[in-house]
Amino acid sequence: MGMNSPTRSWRIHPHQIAMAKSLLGRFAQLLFVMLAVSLLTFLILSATPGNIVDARIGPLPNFSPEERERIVESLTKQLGLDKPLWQQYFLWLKQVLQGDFGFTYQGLKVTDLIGSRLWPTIELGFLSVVTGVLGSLMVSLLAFRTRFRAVRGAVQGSMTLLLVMPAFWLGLILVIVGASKLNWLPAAGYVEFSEDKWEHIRFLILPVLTLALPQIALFFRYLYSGLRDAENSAFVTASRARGISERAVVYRHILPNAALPTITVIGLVAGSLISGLVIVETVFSWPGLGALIVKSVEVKDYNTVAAAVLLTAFSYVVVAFIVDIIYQLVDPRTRRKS
Amino acid sequence: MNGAKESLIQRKIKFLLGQPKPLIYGVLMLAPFLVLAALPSVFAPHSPLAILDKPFLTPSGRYLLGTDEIGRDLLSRVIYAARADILTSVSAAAMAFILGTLIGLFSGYIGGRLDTITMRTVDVFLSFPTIVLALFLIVIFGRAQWVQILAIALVMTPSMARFSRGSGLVLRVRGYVEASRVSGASTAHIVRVHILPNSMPTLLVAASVLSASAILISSSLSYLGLGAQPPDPSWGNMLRAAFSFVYQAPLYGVGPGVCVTMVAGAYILIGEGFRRKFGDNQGIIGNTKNLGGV
Repeated sequence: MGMNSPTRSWRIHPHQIAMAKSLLGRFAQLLFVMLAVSLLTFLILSATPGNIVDARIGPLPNFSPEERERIVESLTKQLGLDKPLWQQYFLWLKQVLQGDFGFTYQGLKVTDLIGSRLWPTIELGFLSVVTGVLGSLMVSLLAFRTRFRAVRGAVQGSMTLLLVMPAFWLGLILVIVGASKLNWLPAAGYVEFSEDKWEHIRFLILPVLTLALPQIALFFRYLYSGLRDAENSAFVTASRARGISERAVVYRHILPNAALPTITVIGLVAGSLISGLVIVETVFSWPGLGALIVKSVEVKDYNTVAAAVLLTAFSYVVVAFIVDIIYQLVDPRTRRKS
Repeated sequence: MNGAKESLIQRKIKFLLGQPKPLIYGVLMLAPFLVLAALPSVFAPHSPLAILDKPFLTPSGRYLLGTDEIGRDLLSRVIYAARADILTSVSAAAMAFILGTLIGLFSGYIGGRLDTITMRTVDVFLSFPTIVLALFLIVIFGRAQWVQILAIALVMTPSMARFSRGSGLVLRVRGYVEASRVSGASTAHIVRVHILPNSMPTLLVAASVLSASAILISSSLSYLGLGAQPPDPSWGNMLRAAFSFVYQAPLYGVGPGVCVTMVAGAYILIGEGFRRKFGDNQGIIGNTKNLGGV
């Protein structure tokens, strides 16, 4: 409600109350979805074949069978596995809320492991969305403003192609061209930023492009059709009739209106980015959360998988919530309606 | 007699050619893959598993796509891979389509509390990233092909349910539906006789998009090592291998890569064809863009 705080009068506008209410409602929904996500994760986790205690403590190779027996027994009690399932869930949830996801297969703390993988993923994901947004803006405006039908057709065709290309194939093409043929860039790997910042950036380019190109194609679909729709509306005809320059019409009137629906899409993509990251990080051996998920799945490290799944699902829900708020703040029409 | 027969064939051809262009191109693009998947042994020049020659041979008359890292014929492997990939994706898409459509149409038509509960459940499932949820399910329930199919179907069902629910919502207030309700028809009858047939155009568009997502998800899973296990070929695991040998044999991955892209592209074209064929008279076709994918 910081948009127009009551400086003129001390009265709170009805629409502000309505907006607060709708925000509160969305927030309650968010909490509900998060709770349900955790319940579902717990249920899938408890459907694992084999003992969940084994999953929690790992293989523990250093213990004799008797010692192991004793540890399993005490942990069973401690984890409440002798209790009914719903009580187990609340015990598990309590630990999760305290940031305790147990230990990995190799005896590391799950939270530590995930923490160390978080930054490379955030860096890759964030840069790809930025590239996706800027790229789609350029491509859409190019297709929208060009006088040549061939250019428009070429853009549309290549965007459709990018949309159906799986990430690992696109990544391979980029590697064939950029790394093996032209020898410009390294094929796969990672160098710490603190070690060598230019090498770090060189290793970033191909994965970021592989993630960003399909996003450009997706945003293009919305932005371009938004531009076409906006061009047909009355205010554009009116602006042109008043003799406003074509440039101003496009950038000040058409573009802002076309960009609005795209915001939602960008939010959804940003939230569901992890599916793409899983593939791209595996393709380029990028040491992030996505590659970690795949590796943990391979070695059946259930604790790590559960933690990563919860984390990614939560971040999706939170991003969707934030996008919703931004949308309400940016578009005055949604405010008036609610 | 002869003339009448000819004109019937001519009319049939005219009917086929009169379909929207994307639909024709899409079907023409998809058909060869379906044939290959059905009869790989007829078209594959060699065995997909036999070691025939030196590794990494470049394409030649004998091996049209060259050989792989241990000297197997790449073309035959690509052809045999079509079977696993297409079977998995088509079954998963079909399951997600049927389940999602049933849930969505009933939920949208009945509305009220049931609808709220269904849609909140859908929200919960959609909060999981598709690939991650599928990975999670496969690792827990095993790597068998039917587990894969179920997992892919399960991650796609919620978006299908949400989509078809929109159709149910729109149609429930149509005159003929209300008339049917007033005259005492049961919910199941109304959904079967009125809602389902009238949603079919939009549902067909959704089915095409769903199939494209299914092939992308299933090949992603096999890329990650959860699909067909070596030595059995799949487009995904071939591309994985191609990546490791990108310096020795840059063209290794072209065959499988082009195949996945073409199959997914064919589905999208077919969907676009349906969209043009049926028009957007329900005002809900546009939502298919939101159907989940990778």
